[in-house]
Amino acid sequence: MISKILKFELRARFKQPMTLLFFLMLVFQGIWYTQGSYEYYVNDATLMNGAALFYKNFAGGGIILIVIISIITGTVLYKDIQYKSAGIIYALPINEKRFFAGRFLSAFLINVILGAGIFVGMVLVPFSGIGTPDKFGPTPWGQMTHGFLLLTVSNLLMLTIVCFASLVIFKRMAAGYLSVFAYVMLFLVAETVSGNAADTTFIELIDPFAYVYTAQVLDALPADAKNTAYLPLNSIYFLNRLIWLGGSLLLFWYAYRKFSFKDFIGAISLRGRKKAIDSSTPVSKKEIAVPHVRLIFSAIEYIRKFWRLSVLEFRNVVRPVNFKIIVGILGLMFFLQNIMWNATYYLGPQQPLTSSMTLARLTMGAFIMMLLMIWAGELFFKDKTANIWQITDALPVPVWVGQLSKFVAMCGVALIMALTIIVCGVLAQILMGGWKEIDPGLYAGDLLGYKWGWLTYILNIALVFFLAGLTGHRFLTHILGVGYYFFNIISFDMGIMEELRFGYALTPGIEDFSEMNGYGIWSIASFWYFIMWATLAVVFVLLGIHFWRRGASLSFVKKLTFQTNQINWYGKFVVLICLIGFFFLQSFIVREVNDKGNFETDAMANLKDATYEQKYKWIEEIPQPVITGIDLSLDLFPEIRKATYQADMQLTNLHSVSIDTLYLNTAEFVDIKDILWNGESVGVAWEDKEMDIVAVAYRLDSLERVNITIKAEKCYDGFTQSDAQPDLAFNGLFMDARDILPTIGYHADRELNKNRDRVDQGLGKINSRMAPVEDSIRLWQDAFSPDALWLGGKIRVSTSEGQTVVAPGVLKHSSKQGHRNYFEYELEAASPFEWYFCSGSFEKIEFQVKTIKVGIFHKKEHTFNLPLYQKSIQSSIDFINEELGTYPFSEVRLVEIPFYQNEHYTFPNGIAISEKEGWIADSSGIEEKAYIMFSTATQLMRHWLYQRVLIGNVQGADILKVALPEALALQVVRQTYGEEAVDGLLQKKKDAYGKERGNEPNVEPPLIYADGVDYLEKNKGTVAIYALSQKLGHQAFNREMLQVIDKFDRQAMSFSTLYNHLKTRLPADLVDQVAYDFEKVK
Amino acid sequence: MNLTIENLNKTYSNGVQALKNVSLTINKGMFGLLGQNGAGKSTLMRTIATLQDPDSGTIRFDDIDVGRQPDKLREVLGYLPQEFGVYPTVTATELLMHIADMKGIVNASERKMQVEALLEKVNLWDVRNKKLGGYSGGMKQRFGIAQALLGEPKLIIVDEPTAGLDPMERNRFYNLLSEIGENTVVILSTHIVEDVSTLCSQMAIIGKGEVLLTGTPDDVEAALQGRLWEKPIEKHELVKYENQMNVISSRFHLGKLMITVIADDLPDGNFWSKAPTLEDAYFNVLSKKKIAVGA
Repeated sequence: MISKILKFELRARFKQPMTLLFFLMLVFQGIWYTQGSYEYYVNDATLMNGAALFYKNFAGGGIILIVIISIITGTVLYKDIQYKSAGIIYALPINEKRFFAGRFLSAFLINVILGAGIFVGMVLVPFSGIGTPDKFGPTPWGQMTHGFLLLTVSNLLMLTIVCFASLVIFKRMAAGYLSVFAYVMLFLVAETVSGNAADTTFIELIDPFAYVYTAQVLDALPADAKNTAYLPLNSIYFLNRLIWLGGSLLLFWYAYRKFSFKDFIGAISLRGRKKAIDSSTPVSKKEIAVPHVRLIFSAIEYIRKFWRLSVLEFRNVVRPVNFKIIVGILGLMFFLQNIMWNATYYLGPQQPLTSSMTLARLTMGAFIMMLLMIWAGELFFKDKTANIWQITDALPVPVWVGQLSKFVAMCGVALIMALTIIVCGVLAQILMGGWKEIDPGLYAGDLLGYKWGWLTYILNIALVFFLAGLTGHRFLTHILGVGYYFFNIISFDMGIMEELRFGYALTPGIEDFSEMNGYGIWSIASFWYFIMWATLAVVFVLLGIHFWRRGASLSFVKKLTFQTNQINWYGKFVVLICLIGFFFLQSFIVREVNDKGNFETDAMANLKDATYEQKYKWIEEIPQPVITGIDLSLDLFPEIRKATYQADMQLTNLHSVSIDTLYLNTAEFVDIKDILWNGESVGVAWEDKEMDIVAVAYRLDSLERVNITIKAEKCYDGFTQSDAQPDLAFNGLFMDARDILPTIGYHADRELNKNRDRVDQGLGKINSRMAPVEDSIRLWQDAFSPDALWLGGKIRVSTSEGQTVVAPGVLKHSSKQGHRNYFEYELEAASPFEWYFCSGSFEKIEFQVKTIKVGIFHKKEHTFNLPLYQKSIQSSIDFINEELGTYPFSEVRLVEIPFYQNEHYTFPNGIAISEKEGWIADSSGIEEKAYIMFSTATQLMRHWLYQRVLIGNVQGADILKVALPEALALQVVRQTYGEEAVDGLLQKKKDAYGKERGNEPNVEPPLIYADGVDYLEKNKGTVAIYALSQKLGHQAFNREMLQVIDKFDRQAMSFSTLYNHLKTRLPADLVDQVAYDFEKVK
Repeated sequence: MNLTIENLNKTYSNGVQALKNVSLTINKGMFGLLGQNGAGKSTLMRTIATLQDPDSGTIRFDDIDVGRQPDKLREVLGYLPQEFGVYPTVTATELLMHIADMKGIVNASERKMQVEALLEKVNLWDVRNKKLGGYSGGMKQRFGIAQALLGEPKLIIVDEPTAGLDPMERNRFYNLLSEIGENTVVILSTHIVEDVSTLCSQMAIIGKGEVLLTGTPDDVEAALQGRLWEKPIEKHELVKYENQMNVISSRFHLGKLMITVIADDLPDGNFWSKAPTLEDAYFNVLSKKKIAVGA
């Protein structure tokens, strides 16, 4: 019998043209997702049809597959209830258990056959035209089959089971949908959280699709292995499958046992009729007169009616118990997430701040939006679903009253969701002792506004409203609405689309809230994007009313007419005005964002850099002077994102030949007003504005020194969609000197350093991102600024009233004049040209460590860990003084900055630490204490090291710049918190290295050839240096290191010199081990 | 007060012509539209009720052009569709109050009084506060009748209204409709001849989208006066009689097959004269397709 059922179901399903369409959609997804995964794996050795890409896609499944499963699976079992054929089918002489098994196998097989569309898509990738032939290798049939069976088929089995079991238990079609979506939500949460989690084991286990596991394992594979390796399976994989597949099989067993025709057919007789009412009421004998009534039909009455109906529709949605259950479950999840998952970017738990509570709207945002969109679709088609449309559509109310009231009701439902998140956040804050941190304004802005809050929900509901009117078809509305929504967010997430103005309802900067700077420029940008989408949403709502047809449904083509009176001429006029407004706002955004240079796509940026290299590489061979001194006068106007400045730069020709032209690379948005050469104006020989390069013709003889004065202004105009432009932020401005001052000569940092990008732009591949140690010219360049020697100088900075400036050097003077604050800093000694300026509204605490004056500048409310920072600074300076000589500065300032850039910055007399790197951490645990001390100590070690060593601009430079200070800082942590705390930090680095090395764009170098790539030096480098230090003994290590540093005494030094020296001090039995760490790539 | 339908045509996208040049004039009182399943009755009802656009033709109710002013018609319309659902989680009172509001009964107390009176009329008073999801088919049908009568409509369209009602409820419904039909136009679409013969002063028979016969039930019956003959036969003889005579219907009576034949003269001595009923006229029309009556 099972085979008969199978045959019938398969034939019935695959006879439908829609099934073929589903299959083709999945073929498309197989190609589309592969392209996205290829963009993710940036290494140029990774093939477009590499096995790893396919494994990830098999595990993720993709939203099209999920939607199709939701549509198809439940119907296979439920259709007899839905179409009321159960009365016939269930009365046939068939075994109900075999019937259940037959239908289950049918659904599973249909899903597998359709899921094979992804497989087919992957096979077709090389022929799809998405890449050139060199990007493809042989099709990895074995790996694909392995991935398809292990991931897709097992996930499909699990989803089919959960859908069937939910139907058997709840006897409602909605239960089938929701159970599948609940699994998807759990997957989305796991996938989202895994990015920031220190330990992903738990997340890998709770992910029902094993996607997180697959991604973690594959990311860690070397580039070559990504093309050919079979997915490694370890205990976590088997445990995950045991939990999810094992659990599903148990669920299947339960459903199989429970299913019976008698029980299941109850869904018809008791659907919505849980308690049958006795209809045998006695007939009244009395004469009843129906009283007369007055009927009023007027515009005002329609408006009143609209409001009453909105309230009624809202009540009808929120009144059922299942709504309360769903909101309750969501509330619980928000609450738990706020308590358990509020990890910062780089650390563990953080203080219960409002900004971390409102983040829940993003991590679960996709699910909430999907839920609301489905709810909206259901509400818009409520009358059709309940089959009462023939009554309601014949009522004397205009279409807009009925439809718009449903839209408004959904807005109310969306408000409930937003308020639920707010309430859960507030409760979590109170429970975690953070009631003082409750920020009603931020809650309102985030949850009720358009940064993925209530207004964003409304925009998406408007889209569903439009689709409902246009299609007149419930399921099509769901598929198009939810499908577009996921297409939208996934396309931007994967970088397939970059310009937000093409992504309906998306606004920039929603994830970029800074405790220091709020949403900064995003506040302006997101406002305009929202206004643009709001005008389109108005059009959607009005057209939704216009296209909605009461009565029997019309064909799609017949609907496309404007000859109806469902919206009157005023309404049609508003549609026109809003459409004009929408396109006007599109142009406005293009002007403000694109034309004013605030945004360019990756492709455009790559093209620009490649063009620069192609056009100006020759300058590299032209002798150029170096900067030997700078006096800077800088006036900051944060409120208008503007800086005016005058830089007196001392340039020296260190070459043996004279120089006749000076090449200046200016930063973007810099407008040079004047260039003076020893006080005299000079003309510009030529200027390439597109490439931001200026040539100044002036003779400079060998060893001649000149003062060049640059008067300029930097001002951001318009707004941005992707770059926070933090160097001129409203509060917490943090500016690199290079953001305003020019680079001399050829600007090598602009070269593309990813081989894939280079090949795409017609450039040759590079073997290394840095010059080899043997390159004596580069060796004598300072790794921080190849065009500058160590500098002294004066810096005068003014800023707006209420803000304080922290700049390199000791503070000589500060004053207030009018509405501006003035600060004068002077460098204590010549230092690498690594200057940063910071301006913000700070609270300050001051103290002394021996003779060194210390100031900590922080956001007023961020006092949580100040004692820990004090202790860290004290311990670090003590360590330096005891172990390494003398701390080089008489003053040191620690300043809190927004998180937009790097975690830490070091500059003469100053340290900047991101707001998310400890200021708001919950430091009750030893791990967090150790991390805060480690990050602070690292910067102070850098102060010491950078003033002692001229780090040559060659391979291994970043081991000296990054890894060595970190390894020394670990010694400080060890002294304070013990070896166990150090082990925790090292483990984190090992994990990060393992996870991130897979994204090496070129070829991972051994540490002695490290060429400045993020994941390597600060992770593997630090671990290796610390291990070397342990092997030598920390004191011996410090002593030997000092010996080398003293020997070089500010002469250019490379890491290989230090390494070779330390290696000679190792016991013979450890040399190979250390050599393996530094000279090989595992 | 009358409803005029002229040359109404409707063809569905699958090619089925549901209405063929339908023209009717319906005056105040009860109008019965009789036809088999699939004859086009519901299409005609939905079209009059503004839920479907005809391909061509016009409908007027007094001075309302239904095609151009559907909103105006809805203000005076009470419609009970053949098949309808309800919101399962709301009570009868709640849904009737809501529909009354939508029908323009703005005054809350008037709305309440009319809803309560109708709940009593349709015998749902005792279960008025129960959720509609729990209602039986008959109760739901009574609810449908109540909603159609809200707002004192001038044009009432009831499509197969007695389906699912027990004999007692059907009687009550007849009383109710006849009471209302005194001052309004009521179109009763049905395939149950008894509904029409009991209630309607005017009627039409529709088949395959065409109006086959119009008139009053009495006229329709009278047209067969003296021409109907009845006779018990053996089952196997039916084909023979059908070939030889104009057999318009056959039925069992006391275990015998009784045929009804139409003929101007007595067909043979074993037949006896039969007093015509509306059912006979209905069968006659269906068998002959179209006969002009009462012209």
